Amino acid sequence: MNTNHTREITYLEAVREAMIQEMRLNKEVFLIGEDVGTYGGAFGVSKGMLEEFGPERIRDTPISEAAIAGAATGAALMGMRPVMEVMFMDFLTISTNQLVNQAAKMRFMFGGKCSIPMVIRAPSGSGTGAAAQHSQSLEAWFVNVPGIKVVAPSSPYDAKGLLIAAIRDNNPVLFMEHKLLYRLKGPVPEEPYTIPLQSAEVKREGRDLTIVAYSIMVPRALEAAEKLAAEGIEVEVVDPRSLKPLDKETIIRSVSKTGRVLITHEAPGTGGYGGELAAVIAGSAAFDYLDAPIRRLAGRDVPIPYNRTLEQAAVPQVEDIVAAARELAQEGR
Amino acid sequence: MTAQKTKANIVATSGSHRLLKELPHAKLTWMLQRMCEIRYFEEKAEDLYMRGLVHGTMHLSIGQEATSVGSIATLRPEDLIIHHHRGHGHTIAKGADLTTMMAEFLGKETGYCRGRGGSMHIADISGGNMGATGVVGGGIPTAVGIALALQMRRSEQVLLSYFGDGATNEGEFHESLNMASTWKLPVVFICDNNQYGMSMHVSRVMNIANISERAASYGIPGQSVDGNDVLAVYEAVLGAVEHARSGKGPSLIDCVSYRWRGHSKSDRNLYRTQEEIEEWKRKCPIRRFKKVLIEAVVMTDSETEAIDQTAKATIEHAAEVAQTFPEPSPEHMEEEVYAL
Amino acid sequence: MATEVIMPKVDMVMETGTFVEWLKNEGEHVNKGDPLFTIMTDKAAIEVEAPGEGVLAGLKAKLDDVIPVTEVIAYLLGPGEALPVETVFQPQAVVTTSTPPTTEAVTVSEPAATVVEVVGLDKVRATPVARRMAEDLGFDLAQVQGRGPGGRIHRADILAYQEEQRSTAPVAELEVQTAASVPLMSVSVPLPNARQKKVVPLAGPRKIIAERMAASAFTAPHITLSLHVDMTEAIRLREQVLEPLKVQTGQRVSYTAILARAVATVLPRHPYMNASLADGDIILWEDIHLGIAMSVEENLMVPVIREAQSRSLGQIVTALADLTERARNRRLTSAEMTGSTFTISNLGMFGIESFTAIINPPESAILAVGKMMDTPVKCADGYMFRPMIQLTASADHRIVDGVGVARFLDDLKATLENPYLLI
Repeated sequence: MNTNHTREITYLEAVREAMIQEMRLNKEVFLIGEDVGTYGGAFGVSKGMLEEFGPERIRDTPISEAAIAGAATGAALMGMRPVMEVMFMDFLTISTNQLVNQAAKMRFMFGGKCSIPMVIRAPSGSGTGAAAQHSQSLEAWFVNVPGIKVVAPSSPYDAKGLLIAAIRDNNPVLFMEHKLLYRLKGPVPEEPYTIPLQSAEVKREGRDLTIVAYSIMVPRALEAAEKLAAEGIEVEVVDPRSLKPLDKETIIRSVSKTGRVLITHEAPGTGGYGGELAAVIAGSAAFDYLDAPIRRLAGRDVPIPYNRTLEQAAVPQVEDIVAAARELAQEGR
Repeated sequence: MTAQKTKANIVATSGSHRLLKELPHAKLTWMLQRMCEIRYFEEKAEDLYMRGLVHGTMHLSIGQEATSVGSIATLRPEDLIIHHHRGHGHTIAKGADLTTMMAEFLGKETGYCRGRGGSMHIADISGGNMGATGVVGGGIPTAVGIALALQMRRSEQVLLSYFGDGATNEGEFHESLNMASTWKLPVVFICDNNQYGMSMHVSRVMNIANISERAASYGIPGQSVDGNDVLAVYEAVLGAVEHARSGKGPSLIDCVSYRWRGHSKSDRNLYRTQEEIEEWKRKCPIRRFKKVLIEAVVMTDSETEAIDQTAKATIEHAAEVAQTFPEPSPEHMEEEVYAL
Repeated sequence: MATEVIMPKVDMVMETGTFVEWLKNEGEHVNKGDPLFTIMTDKAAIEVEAPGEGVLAGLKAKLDDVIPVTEVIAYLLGPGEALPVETVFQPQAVVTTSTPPTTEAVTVSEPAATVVEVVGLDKVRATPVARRMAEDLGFDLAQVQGRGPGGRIHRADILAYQEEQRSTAPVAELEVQTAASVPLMSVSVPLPNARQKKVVPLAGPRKIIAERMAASAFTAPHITLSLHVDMTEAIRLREQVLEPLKVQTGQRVSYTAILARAVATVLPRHPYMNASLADGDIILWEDIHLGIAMSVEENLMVPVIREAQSRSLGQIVTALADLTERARNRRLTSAEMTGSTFTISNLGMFGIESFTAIINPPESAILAVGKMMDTPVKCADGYMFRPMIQLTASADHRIVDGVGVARFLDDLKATLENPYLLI
């Protein structure tokens, strides 16, 4: 994937570039959300886009998350391809009726006679000191709703390719952008490209144990893998990239190979997406190759706290991954 | 705090003879015919429900036929509607095929939603009916998006967005009307005000006399009309549609009517008196329109009866045919959830 | 026709209603919409309106009758109408009206508190992969010492136990009905002086394959014959039965299935091709247990279609699909992979044109199937292309001679080229 001479840009720039390139290509694509225009978006993702595309396609809105989601849903029902930015993923709670009861259901409920091609871009996750109402990772809510797809890229390359694929997809796609990843730099080709939504990627190969991680947990798992390699433990890191639809095969293949798996995410463990991953693995051919119980390392079951120490303690950090993976790798060996 | 219950200061044009002269005979015939079809359709659906052939529940709009017909009569064929759970009237007025519609009630594969939606979720996208929503007020934000697409594409189409009186207390109503007004979107918001949100009379849940008063806070025109007077509804909505089509933005039309039946099939009518129901049955919009047509010598008594009987036969036929249609298969349901 | 008055369904979950009283008398004229009778549901008493106009007649419901919805309980007669022929109405056996509907009564049983440690279970604790390895190697898990948490047996423990067995006991005996055990490597040859990538222990299924194949190759004198078969008609047959059999079995007919059916049809006429050598006797088998060789994760597996001679094409398709699916998921039992009397090995899907196979002991023969290829064939006005496959049969010369194998192949060819007797 990473060619030698590709320029490096940030995750944030990759998201912006994907939107710009798709908007140049397709007049039906537009961006709608709070302060996406003059302000350039709360995190600056849409900075400069108003100048190129004008206020109609870079559409500032009232602070009305339900109506924003409805505006995107209705426009998508008409065949346009809106990209809706919610300022923080937490605010999707206000949009939920439109997303869950309208956007996700209309196609099926109306007998397959319409489609809702829209993207919901949602800055997610903790680590910025924004506390309980601006730091959540709500992916598990949405993967449980048939009709919505959920994507959570972990690198600039993936962010661009998956966002273009999401915009071109004919269904509502929730696109999670972790706030701490925005500044992450990486090689990204200049020309538009897509990454299929059902394609996990092995981010690092290893024989002793598999870590399944997505979003911010991928760079953390890779860092942990590097440390463990020094101890002689070879970790394989698999990033599902899209949580729904899920590329089960890549995960099952990796776990069958290593016989051990650690699943990690930032959202709280109880009812979290890791449970789904664990069930997929346990119910697959990989079961016969498991040489230790499937283990989850998730956020603790608390709202994200404000204090820096507490905040870091609430979600898995690199050292937590190292410790859990080491223990799992050594069990019975 | 008790609300000041000065009820329904309605601006109405009851028995408007001006319109009876201005509107083509065919249009008036169309109106009566649709109203009769809605009435007979719902009575038939209720009958099938009681016989256990219709699954789930349904929300009947018997008594409110003038509102849906009067408003949709103002539209061009390419215009759009989006509506709600009590939406059989809008669906028929927008020109739905009655057999396909009845098939949906019966959960058939040939129904509008292939048996996946049922009575509460009928959509006829190609016919300009963008679907009925079962969550109170849920269609209003979606309407903003539809109207936004029309505006961005410089379309001349307009959208009618229907909701009940109860929905105007939802946050989505407020967010949407504000947004649509700010952007001057080509949409007319129509309140099917049957005076009850399930068991709650409007006077118990809002401190204003007329729902149309809410328009002022969004800076858009608002008007309350006699929702049992098909011509009054027509006149009010026509103005709002022209306003929207000319790029001036949305309006709010409050059509005051009454549902004869309970909220849904589980309703026991414990919150209103038999006298009240009887009083409104005497205001039957269909009987009233027939009377107006006959008095204005637009039609004879036998002409209105012929329309009535034709509608009845049409519905009977639709119900008969629909029952012969095949059931859907549960086999590949997952494949229908996502578009390719 | 008289208007039926029914027990109406007035609620999503309603199945029966309890009748309370008639609000009109028998013989009384009623109008549509008049309150006609009262019923009690689990929620409330409700008044039901008359469904039409007419004289009320044929009253069949009385106080406390529990009546299924849609049951007719009276009629409204128009002028000149009479009651329909009486159908006896049986109220349901007394049902307590306060019984809540089941849909509302469902409570989800809460699981007991999370079990942290399962104790007192008379079961060996082992990981899935350790269990599978033990089964493959024929180890009793109770004999293996687990060094994982709580004595859990891991993969490493099985490998250690295997090593221990190897050093303390002679090579585990195999249930291969061949002559005396044959060493896997008869002569000791020095290894090349090269860098090693990895050392894979010869264990489990690989070891079994190694021993069986060596035994077969070194004890059974193989003779190998081959011929070409024109598959034009077999293709046509497959096209014709594809849809009907898909409806019947849910599966697509494969050429392997057609070949299996053909072999099962032909073999009874060639008993020495379906035979085994045991204790100095040749056993000719009545049953044709057809082994189908397949590769699962680099290991040869030969699941068996039992009594293939008495199975229709559809039944073979079903059996084959089931075995293939379970082989891939490693769900086959060892019983299902042993006891074949003849084996078919098809490598056509890998592009192999023809090959010779080693007999799967204790069978007397094996059929190797190559890829179907359009091949020029001479005909009246020159050459034409026909879809041909090459069939190669290897047989144990101790049991059968070249001519016997040739007759079998010729018979099989004739059957495949005129395959309509197969269905």
